[in-house]
Amino acid sequence: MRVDPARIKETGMRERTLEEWIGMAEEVFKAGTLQLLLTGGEAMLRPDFIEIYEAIARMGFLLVVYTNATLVTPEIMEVFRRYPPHKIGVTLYGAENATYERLCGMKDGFDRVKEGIERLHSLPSLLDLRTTLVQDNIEDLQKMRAYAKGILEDDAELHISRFVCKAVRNGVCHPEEVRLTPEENVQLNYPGVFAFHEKMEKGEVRLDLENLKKITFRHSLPKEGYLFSHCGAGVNEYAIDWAGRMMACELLSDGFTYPFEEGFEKAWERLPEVYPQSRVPEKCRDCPDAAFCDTCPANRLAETGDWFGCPDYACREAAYFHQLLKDMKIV
Amino acid sequence: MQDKMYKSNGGYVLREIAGEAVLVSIGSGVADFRGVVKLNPTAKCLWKGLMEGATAEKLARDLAEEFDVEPETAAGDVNNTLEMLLERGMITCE
Repeated sequence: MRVDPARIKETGMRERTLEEWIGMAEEVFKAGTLQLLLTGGEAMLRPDFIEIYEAIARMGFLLVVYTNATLVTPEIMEVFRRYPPHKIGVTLYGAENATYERLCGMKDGFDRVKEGIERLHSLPSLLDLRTTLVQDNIEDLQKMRAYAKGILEDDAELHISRFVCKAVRNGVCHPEEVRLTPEENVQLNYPGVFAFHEKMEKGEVRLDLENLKKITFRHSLPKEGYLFSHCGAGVNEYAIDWAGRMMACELLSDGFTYPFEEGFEKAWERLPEVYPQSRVPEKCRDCPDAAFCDTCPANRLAETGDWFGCPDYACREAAYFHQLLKDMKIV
Repeated sequence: MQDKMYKSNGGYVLREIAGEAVLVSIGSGVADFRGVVKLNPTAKCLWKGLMEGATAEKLARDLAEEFDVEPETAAGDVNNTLEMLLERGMITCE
């Protein structure tokens, strides 16, 4: 993760202060927000993370912290012991120091992450391990899975991010240069379908009703009406970024209200109005793969700059997924 | 049981979310429970009394007054609930 301070300066935006964040937490608390997620980037990078965290933790939210676990200091652990988050999500970027060096520029990255996770694991918080897979860390997947299995409770497994989309809100990295191919991504996200397809190709299994039950896939076509009615963004959840912009979903680069300027209540009330009404994009109307497409408005916007654009990546995913099912004579 | 003071242990915050009363665990409460407890109106009344600290008798009296139930019924319900809350470490008794 790299930040370009010059670019932030150019935008004229600024990080909100400790007092501003605590004031905003009080506002959202009064308005009835139940679950609050602190995430980044990396929230622990803020020098006043402990002060912000403690003030928020005392209020009474269901508190979730997402972190890369490299900055879990004794001071942070001290406040976490007094006020444990309900859940901590740690993102793994690999299972080897060499992978962390390649991906994050941190030579002892995995050692530091393991140390951080060990500390966090001593808390009563629910621990969740997740990863974002790209070409540079895909080889570590089995090791990451094994590591997660050894740590997580109740047979929970490593969670893999469904999408790696292009950078949003002027981010300076280029995930599209390192992400998996659409076909690899389908294989990862629908392992049951892919494994079955492989076995069928080898003649090891045949399709019958019993096998069909093991295969699940999603149909998702945009519906008319509120843009995010399929996921609840802007209906029962929102995000506020480092600069204080409110948005329905953290993946958005457009469609903001300004709670620090106009007050939380007004910003929340106004939020659905800043998005266009949903409609089925022209190209999707007659697309034979549309029923197998898993994209969403946020993803369309991030990938194409258009709320109703068709990301080439998503089209390839849908076509490949459709082909797998056709090969198996399911569709 | 009559003279003892019962008090919430500070591990839960009472909140109103979309018209519903809920307890959210914080601090030491998270070690016992990582979630939300939904309260019905009588439980909410009881918890409010426990936030300040009260005897079982006072809690039962308040409940009987607010919900128009027989004092004996209220006393029985309060005692059962206090026992359950003590077992779960959600309140203290002195």
